Amino acid sequence: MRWRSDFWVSGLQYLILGLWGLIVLIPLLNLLMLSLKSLPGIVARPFSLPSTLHFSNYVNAWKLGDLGIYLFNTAWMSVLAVAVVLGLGSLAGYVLGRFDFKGNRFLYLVFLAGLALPIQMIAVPYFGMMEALNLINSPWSLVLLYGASGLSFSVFILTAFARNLPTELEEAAWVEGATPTYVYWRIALPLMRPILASVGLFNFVSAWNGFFFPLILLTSRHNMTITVGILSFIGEHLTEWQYLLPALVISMLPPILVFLIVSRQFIRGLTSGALKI
Amino acid sequence: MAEVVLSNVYKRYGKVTAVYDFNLHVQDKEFMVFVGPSGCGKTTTLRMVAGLEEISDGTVRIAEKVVNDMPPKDRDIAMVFQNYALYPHMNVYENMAFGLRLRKTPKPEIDRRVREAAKILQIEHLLERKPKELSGGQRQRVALGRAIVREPKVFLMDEPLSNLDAKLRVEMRSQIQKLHRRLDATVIYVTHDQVEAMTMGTRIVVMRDGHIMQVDTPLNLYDTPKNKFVAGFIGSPSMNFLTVTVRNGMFDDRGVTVAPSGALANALKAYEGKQVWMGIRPEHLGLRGVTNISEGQNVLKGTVEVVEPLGAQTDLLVDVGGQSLTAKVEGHAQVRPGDNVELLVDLSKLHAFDYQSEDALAR
Repeated sequence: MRWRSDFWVSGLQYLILGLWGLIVLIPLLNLLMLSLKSLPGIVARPFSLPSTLHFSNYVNAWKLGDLGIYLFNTAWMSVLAVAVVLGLGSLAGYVLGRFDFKGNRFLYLVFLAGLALPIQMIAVPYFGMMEALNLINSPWSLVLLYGASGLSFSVFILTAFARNLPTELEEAAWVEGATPTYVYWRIALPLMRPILASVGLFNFVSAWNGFFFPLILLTSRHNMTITVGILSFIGEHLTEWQYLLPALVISMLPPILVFLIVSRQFIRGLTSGALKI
Repeated sequence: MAEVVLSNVYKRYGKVTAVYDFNLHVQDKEFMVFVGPSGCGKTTTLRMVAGLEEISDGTVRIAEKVVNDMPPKDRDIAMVFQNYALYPHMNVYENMAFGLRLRKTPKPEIDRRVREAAKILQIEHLLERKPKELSGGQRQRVALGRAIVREPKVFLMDEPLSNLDAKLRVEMRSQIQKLHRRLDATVIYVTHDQVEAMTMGTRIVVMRDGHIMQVDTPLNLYDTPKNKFVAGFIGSPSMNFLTVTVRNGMFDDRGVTVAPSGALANALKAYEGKQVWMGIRPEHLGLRGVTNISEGQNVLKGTVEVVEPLGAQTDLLVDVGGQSLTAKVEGHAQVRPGDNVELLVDLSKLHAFDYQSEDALAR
């Protein structure tokens, strides 16, 4: 009778996961469908299938909305922010996780304290700082912001991972003549790859989708990121839905692409600890 | 000359002392085995030699240099770890070449040494594989290979065979012995397996609770253990110990009538009327009427509890006056559980230990 209960349990699991999948997918599919409709079609029948597919919406949105510039700005800003997080986070995580020194616990708690701080709280002082550094209206202000704000969570995760790295590997390397920096670079970092992929992805998505800070820190069109840039389709009297919706689809594609590239490592990162390295 | 000398070495973790006053002189090219139960300090001592643990007190010398404050890389040692410690993201070749690359050895030289070691260990066909694609035995060979290519003065091995199955362990055991002869290097080998220690070691250090119990050759440890712990630890099945009272120079107790001779008889004079431990190995007992052991005042009377026929020999678990002992007797002995038997003791192999200190009495 065991097979029968297994059947029902796995059936129920599939049902729940299937329903969850639908909840996530339906708005996305609706967005995709709406992005191919004409403006009257979008306004009049938002949930119907498009009668004709208006691919020209994408071309026009790209041209009219300067999406190329926004995508470029967002991409380099996000990539650099992730590089800052991974570079500093992996070093801090490795040192905090592997080396026993006075103040280790205190430093770890300082990083953790950042988790308790809502990022919007620092908006005013941060604006002042960026003004002093002459970085208002520069995506570099966002690189610094996302680089720093992502560190708390990343150091928390990376420290936990580094703590579980097998000690023997480091010891073997020391016996063979490696310095601590060499061990970090050649042994620890490659072993941390799955968790770095996960942390990198979280931070990339968070930087890419950031809205509040680009809105207050960036002013000119040619420095704008995509999330704020596409707001230009929303006017005081008219919202150009036929361009806004394709622009939204386009803005979603890079994070999805990045996820597909690192998904294997990402899943290994999520399940790490379940198996020995 | 790659001698390793430990003088008055201590290891303390806060208030806990893991190794006490450890004194040992490992000769050049010797295969020295540290053996003992878990937690006896054997691995800690090895790690102090490697430089992976700080020495709380005393000195460690390798090749006549004090290495207490020397980092592991400068000690000219190679270590083989229990879990192999192969770098999972590097292939076998890279794993083996790692230490040489760090030392900036020229590429052709690295290649020569790696391929030569791979040939010795029969892993030439595995050089491009990652550790996860190897079996336990192959991983162990790679770990050995990584140590060999460095051509160090001293090899340190921390239970390198304990993760292998029994058959592979026997195979690797002989391979390591062959390797030792070929490399002509000093080896310090840690194990908790006394069979491994006996078969591999030139000399063996038996440890317990951070103390050295005895240092000697395998056969000397077997024949003349210094105390009850060593006597029980070395040999398989382990030595039988019976609590007996000394009366008129004899072990005289329930079911036991044994008259020791020679030096042991002399030593027992001081124990007249007192209890001692009588020690006899299972292979030095025989069934009366079947065994070649000559009969005299050397009889143990008991009841058979368990019979384990193994073909070449039969192991009997016998109850002698309420105390259990194991006897290895003739292969086809006709004995059944419940039978009353008389076992003859080979008096030349008889041991006795002080009841309190558990030190061996002179033999």
